[in-house]
Amino acid sequence: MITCQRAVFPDSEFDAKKGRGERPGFPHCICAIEVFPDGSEIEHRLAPPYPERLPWNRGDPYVTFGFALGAEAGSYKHAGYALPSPAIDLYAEYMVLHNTEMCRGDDGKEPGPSLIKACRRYGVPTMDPAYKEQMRALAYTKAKLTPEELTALQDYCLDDDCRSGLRLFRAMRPHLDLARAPIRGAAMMQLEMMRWRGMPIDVPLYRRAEHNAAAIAMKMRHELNRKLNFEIFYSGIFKRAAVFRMMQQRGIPIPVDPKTKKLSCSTRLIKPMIETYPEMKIFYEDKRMLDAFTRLGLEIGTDDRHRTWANPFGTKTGRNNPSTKALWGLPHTMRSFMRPSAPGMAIAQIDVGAEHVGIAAALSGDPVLMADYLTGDPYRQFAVAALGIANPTAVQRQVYKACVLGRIFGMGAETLARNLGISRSQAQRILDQMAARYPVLQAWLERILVKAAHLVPIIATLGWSLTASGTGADERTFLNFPMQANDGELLRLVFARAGDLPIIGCAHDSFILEDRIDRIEQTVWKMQEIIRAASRDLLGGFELRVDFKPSEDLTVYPDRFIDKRERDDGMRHWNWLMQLIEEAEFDESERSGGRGRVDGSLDEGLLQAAETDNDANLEEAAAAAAFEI
Amino acid sequence: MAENVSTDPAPKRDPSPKRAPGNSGSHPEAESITPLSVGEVDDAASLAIDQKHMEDFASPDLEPGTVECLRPPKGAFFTVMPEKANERWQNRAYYFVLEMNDRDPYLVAKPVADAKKDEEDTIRPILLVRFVLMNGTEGLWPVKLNPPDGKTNKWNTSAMNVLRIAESGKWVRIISKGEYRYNVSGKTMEQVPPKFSDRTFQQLVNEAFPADRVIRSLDHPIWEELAHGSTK
Repeated sequence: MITCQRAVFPDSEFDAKKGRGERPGFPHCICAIEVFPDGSEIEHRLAPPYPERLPWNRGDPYVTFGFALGAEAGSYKHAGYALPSPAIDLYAEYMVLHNTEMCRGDDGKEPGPSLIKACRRYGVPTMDPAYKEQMRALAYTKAKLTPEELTALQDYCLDDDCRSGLRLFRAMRPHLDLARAPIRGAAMMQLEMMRWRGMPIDVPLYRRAEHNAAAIAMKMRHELNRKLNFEIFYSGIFKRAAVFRMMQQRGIPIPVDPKTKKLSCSTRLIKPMIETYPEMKIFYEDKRMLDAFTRLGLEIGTDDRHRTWANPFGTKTGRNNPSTKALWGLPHTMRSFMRPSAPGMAIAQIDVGAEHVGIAAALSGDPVLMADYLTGDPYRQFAVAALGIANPTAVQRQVYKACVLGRIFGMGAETLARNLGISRSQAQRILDQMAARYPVLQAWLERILVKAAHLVPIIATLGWSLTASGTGADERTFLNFPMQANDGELLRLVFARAGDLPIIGCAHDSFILEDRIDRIEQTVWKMQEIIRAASRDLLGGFELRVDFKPSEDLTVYPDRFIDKRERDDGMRHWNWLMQLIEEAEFDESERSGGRGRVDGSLDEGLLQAAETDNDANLEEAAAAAAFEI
Repeated sequence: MAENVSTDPAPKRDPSPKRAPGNSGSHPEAESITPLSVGEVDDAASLAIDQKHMEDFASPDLEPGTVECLRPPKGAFFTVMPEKANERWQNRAYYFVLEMNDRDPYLVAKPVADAKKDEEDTIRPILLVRFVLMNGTEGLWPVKLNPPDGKTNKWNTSAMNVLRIAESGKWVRIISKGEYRYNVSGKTMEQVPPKFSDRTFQQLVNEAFPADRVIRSLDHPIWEELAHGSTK
């Protein structure tokens, strides 16, 4: 713990450039209220050119408070200041305190609050939203402000945003966990730095896909009907009933959505079945690609980098919940639109291996599961023990993997039977084998349910919590809550400690970094050490595995990033996608008599993209050849 | 570009800072918020909350909301009020209900149920029992009764058993495994006192079954629907 004699409430005004994939604009002003132990205050008003050192940085420790501190992180970065530490983000703390309340609605979790909404929740006087909009419009629309406009913006920044933040802190203070809040605050700023860096995108190729998205989607629909030999798209419209008919005719069990209790063919429910039913694998993979193409719209800045809001704490388990339009929200095939930004650059992917199994092993203290996890392949170990054989096949391993993951996600015998295409009694036998092999885990999972049923908060390692609602859906939620909530805590601690490591993307169990080729391996090593140390700190000394194989997980310019699953699949979907783009372009060219686009609205940007097509194709071929080697 | 209007970097305390003409007003409060002791990122190991923790406090009070006529949720402990020898039927009562798939149940007045009993097997007697969860949420549990012909149903029998355990002053949780089984909470009534609201049992019944869900006559449209079907 560190004792701070002063507290600072900074805020800045800038053009957020929302939805454009750009970095936030240079700050028009940075203001702050500095509070001293005797209650006195200093109001700071800064404007460009900014001083070398922040005036409240006096050498002794002080704590910085803000609401959505990520925004201020961008302004600090622009002005050349180090990110503040320790720092507490009242937005993050609001999410921690009110998660259960925000999850009570029928439509899932509510979005996070604005500063005004948070102030109202705590009965704190705050600004008029119309005034905020007026000031925001000023910051967003004008590149250069008059002295009067700057003064008005500073007045607003200081007297409304900073002051509201200070008042909100006073109101929230009795509820705040000041010991753990700085970890969340640091993570919020580093998540914003991830967005600041952005993911490098092969924009010419991506634009070709985006330009032809409608035509590609149409081809995909036809192709999916053909592959399944069933008309699940009729006149371009998806027919759920047709999917049910197809599944019925082929003896494939139709899942029931646990929330609605109705039959469903949502890709979420079909996914666990794809290794058992080849038709459903085709349906799942193609439908996801198709859905992605119908809403394709990556936010890409003028520097050819994709930036999107990670939406930290956006799920009830506290994990990030980025938009489905984010690159990492698209099917893994489409992640290959990313490639290192320039010669000499490389991208690395680092995965936390079997993260949920590792967390379950550590938290439950099950010695057998811990030992199995530490072998590097817990699923294989389980299959070996359950089947009494030395070398289980890939299919056998898959069965026991489905069982382990399914059980810690609240799966019962019926669902396991459906997913694996086996009888209910066979599925029950496998679940019983698991209970016999991991009795400590089993008892721990039961204890979590018993505790949740008391309708008291279940609290993760750094304070994220959820209280059961008393409805039937609670059981599944709380079986996997400790794993998901703690992987969220781990991710935040990793970000908080990663500092300037060049993270450009993350999923819940993986991190993407971009750096110069000559130092990428060193960067990866540092990142691995941070993840290992963070897992030890949160899991009572138990260390999670951190996977990185240079031969598979390192992408060097001009190659493009390839997800492991796509690579294992022989780039089948990526090659198909390239073929569809070319076909769509050929068709368009045919329709316009080979004279460019039909609508004749060929603009400068598209012309440029068209000119680079050949290069892109050559690079594709080179990448494919490199892969074959 | 505007000039830098920062205050002097040297610590300069201003007990009456200049008021700025903002929208919400500048009102420095006298009460100080510092010094503050806060955690550090490197302290995570000592700050990590032991996941074996078991809190011993109940959830905050909740205002009574709507009342549902449903079996207590499987994910939560509940209890019921015991019957007192001289004050029976204060928090439970027998009713007739009409149940249809995918529809909320109707309460059926006894004379109507008697008149329809030979032609409608969708009407059945139930015991409505008031229950409460640990967070104060109240509901009405429709406990189905074994038919008078002597054929018992293990679900009905086991539900009555769970009811008896709950009314003996225990927090219980229902588990469905071929019949209703139960879990008794380690928390006692003294540790987590049940928070029944001040509403009467009849008020709860009225909230669970508003006027349009009570059948009092033989010309109610539901009979027409049952006899000839509906496109609803």
